[in-house]
Amino acid sequence: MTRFGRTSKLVAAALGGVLVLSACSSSDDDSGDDGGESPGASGPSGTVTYAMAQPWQSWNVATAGANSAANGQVMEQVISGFWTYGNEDGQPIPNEDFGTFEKVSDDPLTVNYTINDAAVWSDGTPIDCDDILLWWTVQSGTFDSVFSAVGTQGVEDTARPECAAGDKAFTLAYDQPFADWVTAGPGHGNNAMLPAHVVSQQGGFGSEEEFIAALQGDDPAPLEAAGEFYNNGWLISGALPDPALIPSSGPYIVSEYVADQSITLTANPEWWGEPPASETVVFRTIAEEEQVQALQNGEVDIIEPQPTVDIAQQIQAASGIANEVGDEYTYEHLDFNFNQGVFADNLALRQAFSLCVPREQLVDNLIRPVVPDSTVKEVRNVAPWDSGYEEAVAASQPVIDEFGVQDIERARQILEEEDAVGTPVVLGTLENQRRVDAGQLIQAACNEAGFEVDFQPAADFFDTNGALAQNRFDVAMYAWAGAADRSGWNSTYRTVTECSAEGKGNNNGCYSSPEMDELLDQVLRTSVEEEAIELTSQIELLLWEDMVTIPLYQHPGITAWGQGVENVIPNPSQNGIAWNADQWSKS
Amino acid sequence: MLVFIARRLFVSIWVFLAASVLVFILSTNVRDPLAEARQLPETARESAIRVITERMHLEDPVLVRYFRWLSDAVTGNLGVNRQGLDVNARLETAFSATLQLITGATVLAIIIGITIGVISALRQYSALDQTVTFIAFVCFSLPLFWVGTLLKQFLALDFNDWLADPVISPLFIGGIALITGLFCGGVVVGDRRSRITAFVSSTAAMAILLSVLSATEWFSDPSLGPIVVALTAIGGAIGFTTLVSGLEWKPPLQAALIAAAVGIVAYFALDPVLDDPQLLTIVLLLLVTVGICFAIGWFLGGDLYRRNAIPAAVLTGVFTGAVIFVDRMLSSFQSYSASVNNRPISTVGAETPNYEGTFWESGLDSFGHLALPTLALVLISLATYTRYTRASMLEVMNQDYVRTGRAKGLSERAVVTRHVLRNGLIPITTLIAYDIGTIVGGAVVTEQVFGWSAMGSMLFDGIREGDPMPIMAFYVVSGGAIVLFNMVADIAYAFLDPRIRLS
Repeated sequence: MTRFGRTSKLVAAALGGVLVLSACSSSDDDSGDDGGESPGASGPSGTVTYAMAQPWQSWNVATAGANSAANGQVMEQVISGFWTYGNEDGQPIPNEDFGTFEKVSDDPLTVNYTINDAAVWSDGTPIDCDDILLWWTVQSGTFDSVFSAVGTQGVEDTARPECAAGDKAFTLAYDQPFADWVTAGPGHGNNAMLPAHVVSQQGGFGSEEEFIAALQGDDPAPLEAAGEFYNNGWLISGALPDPALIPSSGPYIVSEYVADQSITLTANPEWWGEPPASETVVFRTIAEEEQVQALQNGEVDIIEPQPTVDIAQQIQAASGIANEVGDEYTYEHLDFNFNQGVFADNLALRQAFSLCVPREQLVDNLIRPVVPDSTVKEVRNVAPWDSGYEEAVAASQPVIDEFGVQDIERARQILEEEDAVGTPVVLGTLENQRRVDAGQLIQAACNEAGFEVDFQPAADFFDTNGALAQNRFDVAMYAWAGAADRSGWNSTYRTVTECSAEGKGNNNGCYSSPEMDELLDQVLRTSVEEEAIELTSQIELLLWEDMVTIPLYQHPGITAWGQGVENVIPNPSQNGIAWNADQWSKS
Repeated sequence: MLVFIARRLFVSIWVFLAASVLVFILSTNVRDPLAEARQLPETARESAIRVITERMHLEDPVLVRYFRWLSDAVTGNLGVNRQGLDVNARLETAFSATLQLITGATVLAIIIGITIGVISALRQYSALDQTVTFIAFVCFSLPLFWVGTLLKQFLALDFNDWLADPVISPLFIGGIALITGLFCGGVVVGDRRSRITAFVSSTAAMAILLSVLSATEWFSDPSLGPIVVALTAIGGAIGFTTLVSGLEWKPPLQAALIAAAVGIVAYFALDPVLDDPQLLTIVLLLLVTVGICFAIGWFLGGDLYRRNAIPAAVLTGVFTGAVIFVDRMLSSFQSYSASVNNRPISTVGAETPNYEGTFWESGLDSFGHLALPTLALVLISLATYTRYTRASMLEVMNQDYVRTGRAKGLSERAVVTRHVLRNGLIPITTLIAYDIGTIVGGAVVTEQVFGWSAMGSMLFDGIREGDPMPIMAFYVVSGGAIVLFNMVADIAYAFLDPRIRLS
């Protein structure tokens, strides 16, 4: 908490300074040119346009069906919370404009939250107890038959916060320790706090007290209509909902929407925090292949396409465009099948396969053309910019040195010892250019070592009847999204009840180890960062020792922006670049 | 006729229903709608899969899902897509986007295609004919995504850059002038000498025109001005009269010239009205123009020439109106260009978000966004129309009655416009009717390349997400249009060609 607090304050101060300076300098320029206009020194002005490939589909990002990156990007600056993923490294940072929170006890884990006194929805209604209770009811899954949530994430272990109408402070008391208590609180993304007064009114409640009473009760029936509105009333079907239904709690309000063309955010006049830099931010829906030319033609100011080598070269060749490349949280890996097939019960063969995979060459051929300083990914669940990365790599280093560096001779030797030269291996993946290239490199190297790799890229790889869900692979190559928190990957290595499409969850290889299950429980149940780092290192070491998966590389990212656009700070998290859209400006 | 339509409709409905079962079954099997949800992180995965399963009724058998769709669809409710969004709303925006994107392109392709087809038929096997054939086929075989990217590079990025300093290089002037000259020389009928004269004079005229435009930086602040408008109007009057009746009779020419004169007067008189009109004003003006010109033709034509004078006057009047419209549009160009950072030609989308301007500036905004996709669509669909028209014209021109007409001493103009063109266009009518039926289906690649979201991308999204609802909505509209316009084609054919009877 303190760590994040200090960094974010420094960053906020620095950005604020830059903002003030840039605002001053640009207004100086303006008044120099046409002295007639009075320079609006502090107020937001101008428009910044961002190109987004996917359409915006829901004003409520916190339902299971609306949890998409595009929805999250639009709503990032519209619905505020206590924290958001931000900065260059995608860590959760507190948003003190919205309110403050503090861990007051480790055992039992207790976190106190206080919403800013000035915090109001853009229609003037204060953000207070009814919003808190609605948020808790949804996120804890208390009435999960009524309210849809992306997934309970720790909040199910907390007691219902106590508050009365008008209260702005509440406490989350956990019945067991939880590692990701910071991101369990109300944030900007898919666990955001939504306007309860709108839900209450649409749900047919006469007053705030009545709604609060219903939320505090045990019977979901009176909330049916409210739940129906919460789940579906904020979907964007062709047009914006009535402006009265979409009050904002962030620096911007959604003011204009043209189906499949553009979304316009304008500065929220009721916003109580640092005013945003630009009066309007426009999100335009543009396919990724078309974004570079649109940027060159000045139709958009900021783009962030998936960087194929082509798009990266196109951006780097274009004049008048600034760009920045970097790694994303999303990372590629190989999973072994522990349920059936040659690798299931044979550690030596898994080690031999790991020895033949050309990890360095994959990065060299596929990633470095875009991100020149990218490196091979050594551990799975922590990214190079996360805390605890060095510790995890250091712990795993002995195994990485022995089995994680390509050594075809050694792989062949193991195969001969195991009398397994010519072992057929099915390598499955989703069919796209980068994965086909990667698969062919792996195939060539491992065939040389003595495997017979049958590379099967398929368009239906992720389908219910596809190779991954139906265990039709020996080695599967795909990506996990990755994030700064620790609960996101917890079930990926946990023993499953049944190794079927429905039963295996994210543990696609059906790996199972009592020691691992124990460690996973512990890492989820610690709220002390040092302990979490230590446990994560042990988990990474065990994953290497058992050779459960082979991490390959972080996915590359590229961001480009036009001349005069300021304060674009790429961010590796899923919420992406919009985390500081309130600071974007164009001179 | 009514019996024919009724019978035709009855059969069509069963075909339509049978096909809808087939399309529905195919679309439920095209992809797994849960594939994306399966890749979500653990915390979000189960609830996402559950929501989609419930919303799309994935646990029901296909036929149950089909009949659920059908019973909703007959009440006009096309359901919700995988994200729970209303498909009716999506269809509405997609359909209007398709109309915007494709109507202009189709009309242009038809007009230009037929004109070129007629010219190349009249000059069969000449260098002009061969060149036109060659170019039409080259365009026909271009891949759209590639043309799109090139058009964006040259006509948007480079053109917009060039507009900052609109000086045409001498090489370019020479090239354009030469092409114009060759075309004019090719079209003119006559001996070698008159063709050379046409070539030289049109080349020189074009070169001078371009040089003057370049030197005065006309392109950064274009407009026609009263003199050019007047000259164009008079030229139009003479041209339309030639086409409609020939110049040898006075009344049609008089009517057309008077219509042009009225137009020129209106150019000055309507100045304040046209500063920032509503769309309604423009439509009303169009109707008034047609009315006045009709009256001019009626009175000046007298009993004898009414049939020629009315179309000559109306065509001239509408043409003059169009010229005035273009002049207005052009004079707003500079202010529009300044309002979009001097980059008037866009590469993506249907409009500049939140653009506010006068009628003319908003018009230019639409035009700037439509220019490239329209051009791309016209280029690739030109070939069909030119080839069909040419073949059909040639067939008619070799008919006996055409030879008889010539032998009788009819003027070449009368033979071509009255006897050849009218009969030659009958098969084209069918082609156009079919085409209108299919354009409703959109243009997937064009939409993708130019960032439009219309019928094509609705279908594409449905396929990508394994979601039958948008696919079925697409099927209802585009399948319905094809059935309908097939019937219209048959009826139109019978109406135009008395040899065919519907029964």
